[in-house]
Amino acid sequence: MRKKFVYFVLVPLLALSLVLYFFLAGWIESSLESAGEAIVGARVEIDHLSLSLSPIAVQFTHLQVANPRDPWKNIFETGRVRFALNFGQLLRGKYIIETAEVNNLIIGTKRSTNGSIPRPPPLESGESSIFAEATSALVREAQKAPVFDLAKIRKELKFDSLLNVKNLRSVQYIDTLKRRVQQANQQWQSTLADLEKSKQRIAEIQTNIAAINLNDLKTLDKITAAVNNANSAYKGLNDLNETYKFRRGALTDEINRLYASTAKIDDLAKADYETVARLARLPDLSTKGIANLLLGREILHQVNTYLSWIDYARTNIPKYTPAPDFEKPSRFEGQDIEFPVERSYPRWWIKKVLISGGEDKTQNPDYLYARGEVLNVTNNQALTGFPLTVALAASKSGGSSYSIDASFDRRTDSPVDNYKITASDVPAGDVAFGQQDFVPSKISNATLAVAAEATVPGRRFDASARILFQRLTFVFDRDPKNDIERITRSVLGSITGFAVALRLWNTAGSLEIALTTDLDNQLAARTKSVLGDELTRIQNEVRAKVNQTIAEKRAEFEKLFNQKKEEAIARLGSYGGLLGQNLSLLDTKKKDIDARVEQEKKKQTDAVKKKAEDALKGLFKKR
Amino acid sequence: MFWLQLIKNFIQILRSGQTPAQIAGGFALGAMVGLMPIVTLQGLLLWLIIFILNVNLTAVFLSATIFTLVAYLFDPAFHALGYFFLVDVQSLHGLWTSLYNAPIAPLTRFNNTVALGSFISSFILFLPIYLGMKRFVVAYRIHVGASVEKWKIYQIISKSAPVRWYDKIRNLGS
Repeated sequence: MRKKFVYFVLVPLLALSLVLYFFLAGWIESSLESAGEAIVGARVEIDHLSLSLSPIAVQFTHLQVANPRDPWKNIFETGRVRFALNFGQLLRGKYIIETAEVNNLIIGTKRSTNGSIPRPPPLESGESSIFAEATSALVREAQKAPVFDLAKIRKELKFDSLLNVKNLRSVQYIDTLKRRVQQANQQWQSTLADLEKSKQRIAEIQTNIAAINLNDLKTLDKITAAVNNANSAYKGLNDLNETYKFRRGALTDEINRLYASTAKIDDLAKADYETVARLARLPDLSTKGIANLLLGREILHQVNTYLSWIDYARTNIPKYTPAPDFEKPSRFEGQDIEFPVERSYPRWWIKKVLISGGEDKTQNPDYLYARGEVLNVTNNQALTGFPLTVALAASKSGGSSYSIDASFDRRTDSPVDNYKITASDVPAGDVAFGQQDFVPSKISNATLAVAAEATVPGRRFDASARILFQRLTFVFDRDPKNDIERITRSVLGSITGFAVALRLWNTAGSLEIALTTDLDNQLAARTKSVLGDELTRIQNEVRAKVNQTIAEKRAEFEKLFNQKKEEAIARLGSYGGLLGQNLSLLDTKKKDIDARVEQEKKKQTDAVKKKAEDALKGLFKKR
Repeated sequence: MFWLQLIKNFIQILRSGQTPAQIAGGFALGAMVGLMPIVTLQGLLLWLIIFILNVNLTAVFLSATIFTLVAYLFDPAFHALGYFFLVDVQSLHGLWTSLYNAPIAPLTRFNNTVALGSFISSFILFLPIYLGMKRFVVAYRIHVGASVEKWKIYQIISKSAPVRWYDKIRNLGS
């Protein structure tokens, strides 16, 4: 036994281990804070962390996590937090926690220090996030909002740019039709040129017909030759006539098709008016656009804030990771042989986080006290086999209550997130209402009841929310500037509550937003009765300008079409006439030849008959 | 410098001082250290045994150095041996599986082909190395020791400036 080693190495080593144990708590505390800050992007502070060895457990008295978007507030803070680690799995380098207790969870508390930390630049993922997609969709929605100041509309009407060909599909269509007429005309000219060439053949046939002189048909041979000549001429003319009929049919069909195509112009003209009206931001008083105008900006701004949290969850909850590829080991590394495991564990897994909110709400009446549980927080859901689920309920001393049920499934390649949120008796504070140029105002003293659901499977997104504003009063920022504002104010002044329905979805591709309120019908009816006439005048003016532009283009097209059509039909008619004339001449000639043949036949028959009678008479005389 | 001193000390050890068993034990344990991967549970235990038992440390370090080179040369053989026991010997699969699922056993890295192959090899070689070294020390002391001291190379190493300087530093305060 090397006693010196035991005294001078092993004993000091044990003493050092004890010292390390006492400092270990501090190191773990700062490590946890650093790891939390890296995840959250804001200050994470843990107080009085202590360790126990049997069982191996960590405990701290206070945790506060700053909000990266508002560093003078916490996302949440807690009282005592305690969790025990599975020793067996810890030896394997895995952090498995059966239950973590989180006491006195309070959401949204104020901070006495700034909780911001310098953030590294975000990594480019190559994919656009739902948040970014929603932001651009909201910008599009804001640009689409109609303007209710009719004087402003009239002043800003710029017909030159509004009636740009790019905006008018009917004009583009007419231009297409014109090109089609030009192309068809080239084909018609080619057809007519072919027919012109065949006129020489008609002339030859005509000469042959004229050459048949009925007075010369005295012998059987001459008659036979004349019949053959007439039949040949007939066959030739008939061939030409068939060709003519076929080509005339094709040409006429093309003309009819082109003519039928013009019917679509009327439909496109209507659509063009709608487009121009939208570009001119003409309000449609019969539809539900007022919700967007009055509440859209504020609500969509709020939605965008929540979407950023959804995006955060999507980005930060660890994704499904398949097994790494096999690598050939280098010298001294060897090859690890895997054996069946009774239970495979991820690198870290908190099976259950039990959260109990504080009881004494009067202590901080502005804060939210949360309770509930979070299950299966891990870096690899494929190994645990469970999605991360959150079921929290929170309340304030004033009676407001909230609940959130969410699941974040990363067990397969395509992540699926589900959210279900309810809130009741929530003081809304001052909610911005209207716009700078239309009923600028705010909703004051309202309470909200919200029920929202969202599903985020893969890159798709479908969320709906119903928000009930109750016990509200409107505070208007300035006097009304026009009739619409006056009407809107009078309607709004008489109501104490309304409901808003919102849906955002991108299941069919781009992100769509639908926002409606039950204010729409009331406002639209009142507005229409007062402003309908003036608006109708502006609408008619825009419609007339659109129609005029289209009519000019249409007239150009019709002139071209008729000119080419008539030219082709006239030439066809001329050719057809020539052909008919020759056919008629040939018919006459043929009849004459037939008559001559009949006459000759009779003559021959009579001669034979006379010869026979003479022969019979001679025979009787002899007897 | 350190290695010159090591060789000098080793020759001195062979000549006199510690018993042949201490020298042979240190050499055999050093061989195990050199053959096996360092960062394993059994590796740490081995070092603990070395420091607790009164074996010759110079022999341990020298032997560990030599057998690390041997391990590098025989790494493919260790890999093949480990693979044979882990994969080809079906009857051992139950044992490996239960060890794989046990809490501490994975710290030995037994499921690594080189770790297992080198461990088995060093375990088998321990006794022959120990016995062989013991016999060698005894034989050296009887037949070779005196003549080695007369070798020029030994004298050059013993009297070289770095070794003398190292001796002075080492003996400071003693």
